[in-house]
Amino acid sequence: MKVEEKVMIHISEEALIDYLYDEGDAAERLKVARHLQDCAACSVAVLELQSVRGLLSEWTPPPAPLGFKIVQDAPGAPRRHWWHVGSQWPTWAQAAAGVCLFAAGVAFSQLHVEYGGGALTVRARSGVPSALLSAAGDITLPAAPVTLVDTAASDANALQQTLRSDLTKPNGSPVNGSDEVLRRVKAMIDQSEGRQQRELALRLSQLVQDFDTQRRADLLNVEQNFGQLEGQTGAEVAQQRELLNSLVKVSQQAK
Amino acid sequence: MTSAALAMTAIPATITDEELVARSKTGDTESFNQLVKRWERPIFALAYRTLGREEDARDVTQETFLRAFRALPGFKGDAKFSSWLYRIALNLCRDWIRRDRRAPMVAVPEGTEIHELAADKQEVASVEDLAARAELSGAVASAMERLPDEQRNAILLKEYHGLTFQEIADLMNCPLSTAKTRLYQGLTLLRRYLAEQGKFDPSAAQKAKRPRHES
Repeated sequence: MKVEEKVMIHISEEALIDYLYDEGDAAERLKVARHLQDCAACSVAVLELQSVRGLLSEWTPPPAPLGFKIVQDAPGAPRRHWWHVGSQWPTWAQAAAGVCLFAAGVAFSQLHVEYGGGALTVRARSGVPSALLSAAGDITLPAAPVTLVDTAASDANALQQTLRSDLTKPNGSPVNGSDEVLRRVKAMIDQSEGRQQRELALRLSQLVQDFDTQRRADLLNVEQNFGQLEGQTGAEVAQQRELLNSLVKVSQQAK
Repeated sequence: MTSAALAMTAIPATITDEELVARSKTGDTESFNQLVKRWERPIFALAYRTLGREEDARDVTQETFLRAFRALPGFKGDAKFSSWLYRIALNLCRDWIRRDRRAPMVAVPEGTEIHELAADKQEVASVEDLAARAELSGAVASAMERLPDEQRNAILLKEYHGLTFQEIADLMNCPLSTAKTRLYQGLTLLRRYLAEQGKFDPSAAQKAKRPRHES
């Protein structure tokens, strides 16, 4: 369809818009109305814009269900944050949650994770107490050789031996002052935790490296396979073209 | 009167926006919810016609009222509350489009529109009429989509929300004459775009006018 070019009009855009929407200075609108009685071009321009306005009314939004509401806490009520939820628990529950969190942390630090042969293997190390093992679980897809490190067990044994030697003097008398023993136990536990955290960080970085290497190798394989596939497809297409060409030649010769 | 006592009293339908705003500022959430009830439909319509997706429009509508509620203490009342809401909604739509890095999609969803249009009208219309109207609605939507933001917003605010030229100029931070020019240019472009889609026949208006002026 040929699109109509701009019509020359004798009214300013502002005056025309004022007239169209019946807004603005009344005297100016009266002038426009008088001009429109005598000028076909301007009348057509106004009629066209009025028609466009009529078409605009056809565009309706869907009757969406709304009903928004602002809900506010009662005045004076303390603002509740997610980190305050625990403070309403009884003391025993908070203590239990703390123990579970610690157990989960220790169990996680005892995990050995490997990625290889297209499979991700997550295993708990041997020597971990059975309670922690059950918490950590043993996820293996499929079974792959895993290097088992006994750091937790060795830590526990070292702690046990140190405690025994400290609690028992050469003459068999117990150490005086339980505060000292507690302090040393705490220090040893701290050392053990620090060591485990360092090891966890190391293993995680190794995991990321291994994963990245495997991903690159997989991508390379995929690209190579694609290349082979393309080559095969191209050869097949060429064969089919040759076959078609020979068929065309034969049919032309037959004519 | 305390805000709690205000909330307990029923809000008459005749109460003005300004009064509701004043009560909301004292912490009366119910008064603000009354404002939400009054204006959520127009704000949704504006957002829908700007963004073209019902879900997006709903999100923008909700966010508009949340922002308005938070910013209410700073609302001085220089402009009408509705104009203030429109400004928030348009700014959110603009940010929404920028964030999605896409042009506003104002295509009318297929399938549901015929029923929607049928629900709007009291008289029983034929399937052909409804389909034609659905097509026309889609044509208007896509023509509006092609307009520059300023022209589209001017048309939306004037045609569908009935703002005065001065209110549009204030809302768009432009002189009065610029607001009118944007409106004129937008309508002129729309006429062309609709004609390109075969939904507007320029010669029809000329034919309608010709006999009178030729005589």
